[in-house]
Order: sequence, then structure tokens, then C-alpha cells
Amino acid sequence: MGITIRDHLQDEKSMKNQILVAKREINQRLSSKGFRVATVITMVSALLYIVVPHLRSSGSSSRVIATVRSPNLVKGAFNNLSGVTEIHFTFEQLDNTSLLKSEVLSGKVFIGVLSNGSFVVKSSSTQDQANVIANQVAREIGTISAYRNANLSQMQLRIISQPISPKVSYLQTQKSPSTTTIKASYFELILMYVLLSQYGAWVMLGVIEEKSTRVIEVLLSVIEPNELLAGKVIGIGVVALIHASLLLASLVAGLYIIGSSPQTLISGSLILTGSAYFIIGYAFYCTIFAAVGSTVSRTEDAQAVSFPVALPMLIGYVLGFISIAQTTPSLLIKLGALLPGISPFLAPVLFALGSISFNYLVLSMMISVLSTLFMLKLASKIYRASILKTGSRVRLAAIFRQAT
Amino acid sequence: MFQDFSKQSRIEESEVLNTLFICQQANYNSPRSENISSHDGRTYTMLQLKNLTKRFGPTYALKDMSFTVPNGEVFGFLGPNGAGKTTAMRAIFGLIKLDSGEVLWRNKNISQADKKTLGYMPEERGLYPKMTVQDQLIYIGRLHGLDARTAHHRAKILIEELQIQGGGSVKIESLSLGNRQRCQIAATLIHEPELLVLDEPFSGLDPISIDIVRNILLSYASLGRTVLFSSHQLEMVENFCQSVAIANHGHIAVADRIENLTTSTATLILKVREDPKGTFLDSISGIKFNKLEDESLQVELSDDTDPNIVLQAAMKAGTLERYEFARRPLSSVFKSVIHSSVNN
Repeated sequence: MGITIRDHLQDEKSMKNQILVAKREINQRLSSKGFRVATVITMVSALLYIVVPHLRSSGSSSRVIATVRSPNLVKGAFNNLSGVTEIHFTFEQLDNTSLLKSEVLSGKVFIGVLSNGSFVVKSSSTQDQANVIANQVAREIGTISAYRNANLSQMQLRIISQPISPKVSYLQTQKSPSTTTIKASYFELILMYVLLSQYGAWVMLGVIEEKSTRVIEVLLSVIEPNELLAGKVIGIGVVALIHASLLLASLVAGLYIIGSSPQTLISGSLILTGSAYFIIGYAFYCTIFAAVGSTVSRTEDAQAVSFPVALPMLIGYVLGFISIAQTTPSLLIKLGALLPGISPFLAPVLFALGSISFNYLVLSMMISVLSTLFMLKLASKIYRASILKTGSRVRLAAIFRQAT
Repeated sequence: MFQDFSKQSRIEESEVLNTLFICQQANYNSPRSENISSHDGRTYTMLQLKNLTKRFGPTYALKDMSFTVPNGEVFGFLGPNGAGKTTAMRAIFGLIKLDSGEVLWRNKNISQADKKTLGYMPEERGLYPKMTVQDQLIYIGRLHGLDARTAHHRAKILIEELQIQGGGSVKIESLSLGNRQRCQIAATLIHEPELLVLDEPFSGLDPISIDIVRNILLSYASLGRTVLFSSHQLEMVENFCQSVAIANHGHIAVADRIENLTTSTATLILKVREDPKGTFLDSISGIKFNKLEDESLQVELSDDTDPNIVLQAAMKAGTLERYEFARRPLSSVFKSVIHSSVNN
């Protein structure tokens, strides 16, 4: 019937125990040298991820174009491209072809233009920026030459260069995702995968450590298994949030350094849906990892038992990438957004890209929450049934027999 | 081992008969001892294990095991390997699910709140290797309901008392085995439990550590707290405990006070000043005797021989300077209990 004072006090004591366990987890992680070093490395890497490409492009925004004859012939074509590529070209004239080639080889000259009008670049790689630009300029000059050779008037040239296409009407309008949303979706997907797999592994290894060092028997002689499990998940969850916040902060700092808006990463709905699904996904995966960890007694066995749990994560991650790349995601991917364990990877991304409706997102979230609650109950039973069993790995049949 | 009455000119008959009566009451073959008297003769039941049964597959770890631990005693829980000691201790803390039976603490089932007043040291020692000794003790203390300040204070005292090398700032993983064990005992004592349950607390300890731990436990017991511990070191148990329970194959073969168990009612030691050769015994059938170094006589009684007959004959023969039942070491009692329990 009603809640008695005794029940209330019991709940309060249980909460106190969970807080104590959580505090120990937080202190242990935060005071660990390994964690501190790894966090700093992650933050610096994130910062460099943003800043370095910017420095590379901005530091070398001025390129030298050298010609053997007068540069006026190609100057216009390069300057036209300058507006698109945001590269400033400077021109210089060299005395002979061999000097020009040696300057190109040494990297002092970006692109060389020979006296016969042909271009010289250092690398034949299609990824090479000089190669790409040289080909583009060569094509433009070739087209202009072709028009000139055809003896077209100025009017004819304008008509050809600016063709008017018939209008195409759309019966259903679909907002195509912006480049920012696509970039942010990739980022959210990577972050979700890295954080969930890392903290899931932490929870599992923490459970195995308590079992292998036999401290579990001392702990369970005074607190309930559920309190210990909940405290551990909450504690590591707090560390995860701190870690994720520091990571985000370093990325945002990087964006400020290069003078870009943080919206490149935190686009629209993703900040809300991504956070919500991170919490749901964390609760879902960490309890399973804890349950799985409780079935083994040695850290060496961790990898074998954790693979089946990590598999849905990997599937969600890959499907997430596919969904971003596809203009219209397949039915399989849309169904994946409803599947517990996979939905944290797919649902926020699909919603941000406009591939699923708000109602679909709510349905997915409800399924995720319900399945997480079910998983919490099941994982807690598995944990209780197997945490004190040492020696060989606990058999699945035995776990379910005891858990039910 | 034997009590010497040689300085007394004569023992009062009533005192001798009283001793004889007490010894005859020794419930040697009793499978359980529900009410063990304390020093003051009153019975305080603190912990009761009642009809505990636990099966792992076809094997019985506990088979209708029952015994009672009285208040304020150091109680030894003995038995060969696989007798069910560890399983029974785990059952006290609800660490295993019993098939049947119950554990009572002050006549009630043990609640989660009660567990905070108990201390448990499992057979498999367990501490967080990366935590410092002090943090570890404070954490365990706080889980048992201590506030941070008290936990800190008690941790400091225990570290000093147990002489843990390196003090509180050392990580558990860098401690020697003996020091880890001391730390484990400190973790069990941090909240000053009313009942201590220790599974093999002395195994792996060097003699100096054994002395330190024993003294700590004795001073703890002197405060009226109860200690239940298992051990294979029977000589120590004999000197350390007031009562023991001997388990075999999942049930209690015998549980009693040590003095009752080690007193042999089948062997008498006596000395008559006027008849040191024991000629007065020749007329009594069903006995064998031999002379000891101090001129005392060791008399082996057959099952149907009444010790009173020997006593009366001795008193008629002259001045009785010594009369007592022989005592045998606990290890001998242990072996005979286990053998008879196997044969039964």
C-alpha cells in the first residue's frame, strides 16, 4: 500500500550506498594517472583535429605560379579560380624551362607554365592540389581557345557560357541537409561510438576487477548487488559526461581559435537528441557490459564475452555512416532506428538529416527507454546470479535458470 | 595440562563428585548445542544457524547444519576441507541462496541494516589493489554507516594497531601478503562490529602477524563482542576459543565448550599418598592402569565402568592427592570426531 517510514529510510540508505560507490568510482578514475593522460591526449587530439587543417590551408594560401613567357596569358584563368579556392596566386617569370622545372620540383613554385602553354606540376596524384588546379585552369584555357577558334561573337559566347535550362518542379519538397548538418552527424556518430564503447568497457572491467580481486564478497556482505551495480554505472556515467564535456569543450575551443562557429559540430537537434540517446545508450550498454563482466573471473576473458555486446554497436555505427552517405536511407536503416542498442547511433542522425519524422523519433525513443528498463532488470538479475561465482565462466543456461 | 592437587592435603568429596558430574555432562556426541552457557552461567544467543541446507548439483554443501554462537565468545568453527564452513559463513551474510534453513541474529532474520553491524572477512581476501590502505578502510567503514570523520579516525587507529607497514598512504598492491591480510582485518574491524565472522583469519600469516592479529581479536572480544572464526590451526583454536563447532560433510558433528570436549571421561588421573602403586585398583574389574612419572596413576575405564567406584576405592585406600579426568588435545578430539562421523 503506502510507503512506510521504514521503506523510506531503507531507500535513503540504499541511495547513500549508491552515492558512496559512485564517488569511489569517480575518485578512482579521476585520480588515475592513465585517465588524466588519456583525457589530455584526447583533448589535444580533438583540438589539433580542428586547428591543424585550418593552419595547413591558411598557412599556404599564397601560391607561386611561374611562367617562362609573359604570365598575362594564364593570369586571368588563375585569378578566376582564386575566388572559388580561396587561394591567392602570385606570378613570376623565369628565364628557362629547366630552371622552372627545378623550382617546381623543390616546391618553391606551385605550378609552372611552359612557353608552349603546357603546365608542369610536381605530382601526378589526383589528390594533389596543384595537379587538380592545373587541370582545371588548363580546361578553362582550352575552352576559351576553342570558342575563339570558332570565331564566335561576344553575344554567342555569353549565350553558350550561360545556358538557360528548363525548370524542374517537385511535387514533394524535401529539405536537403546542409553540409554543416552532415559534418555534425558524422561527428556525433563517432563520438557516440567512442564514448559508449569506452565506458561500457570501463564498467565491465570494473566488475571483473572486483570479482578477480575478491573484494566483491566483502562489499556484498554489507550492500545489495543492485546498489553496487547502480553506483558503479552512475559513477562511471558521471566520469563519461565529464570526459565528453571536456572533449566537446576542446573541439569548441578549436573552432573559436580558427574563427569558426561551434554550430559546425553542434548542429540543431543533434545536441538534444544526441545527448538523450547517449544517456539511454549508456544505461543500456553499461548494464549489459556489467552483466557480461560478472560472468567471468579474469580480465583475459573479457574480450571473448564482450564481443556479442559490442556487435550491435558496430552495426549501428556502420549503418549510421551509410545513412549519412545516402540521400534517401533504406528501409533497413529506418527500421534500425527503432531497434534497441542500434537506435542510439541511427535515430539522432536520421532525424537531423530529415530522414525520419518527429513522431518516428519519439517512437524510437520510447522503445529505447522501455528496452533499457527491461535490460536494467535482466542485467541486474544476471549480475546477482553470477557475481559471486568464481572459477570457470558461468554458463548461459545456468545464469538464466538462476535469474528467472 | 593436568591440574595438580598435590599441595592440597585432601580434596573434599563433594568437590570431586561435582567435577565428575560436570565431566559426565560433556555432550561429546551431541550433533548440536543450542544453549551454550557463558562464563556467568547465563545463556545469550546471538547468532543461530538453523537447519541450513544448500546443494550444488548433487553435492550437499550444507546438510541440515545447526549451531549457536553465544554472546561475547570467541567461537571456533572447525572442520576438514569441504565440510561446509565457508558456505555456512557466506549464508550468514546472504551471499548464497539457501535451499532451506535460516540464520537468526538476536532471534530475528538478518536484515540489511543488521549487516552493517556485522564484520566479515572471507576466505578469499579481497581489497581494491589501486586504492590506498586509508582510502580502502574509510570506504568500507562508510559503507557500514560510519560518517567520514569517524571512519578516518578509526582507520588511523587500526593502521597503527595492526602495524601496517608504510601506513595509510600505501597502495594495497604494493603491500606484502601479511600486510594485506592485516589491512583486510582492519577493514573487518573498522566499524566495530558486534559480530565478527572470519574465514581462516590466520592462514598465510607469519608468527609475529599471528600474535598481532590474535591480540587485536582478544581485546575486541574482551569488550563483549562475539567472534566466529574458522581455522585449521587447532592448537591456536584451543588456546583462543571458548567454544567450537566441528563440521563434517555439511553438518555439525559436535558443538560444545572446549573444556568439555577436551576432557576425557574414559581416563582418570589419580594419586593416593599411602598407595602409590595402586593396589587398591586390583579389585576393580573393567579398568587398566599404569604409573606416570610423578607417581600418579592413569586409569583407563571401560565403557561400563562407573568412575565413582574408582573414586570411592581410592578414598578408602588413603589420602587422595589428585583426582581428575585426563585432558586430550583438541586435534585428537577433532580427528576422533571426524572419524566417528565418517563411520556413522
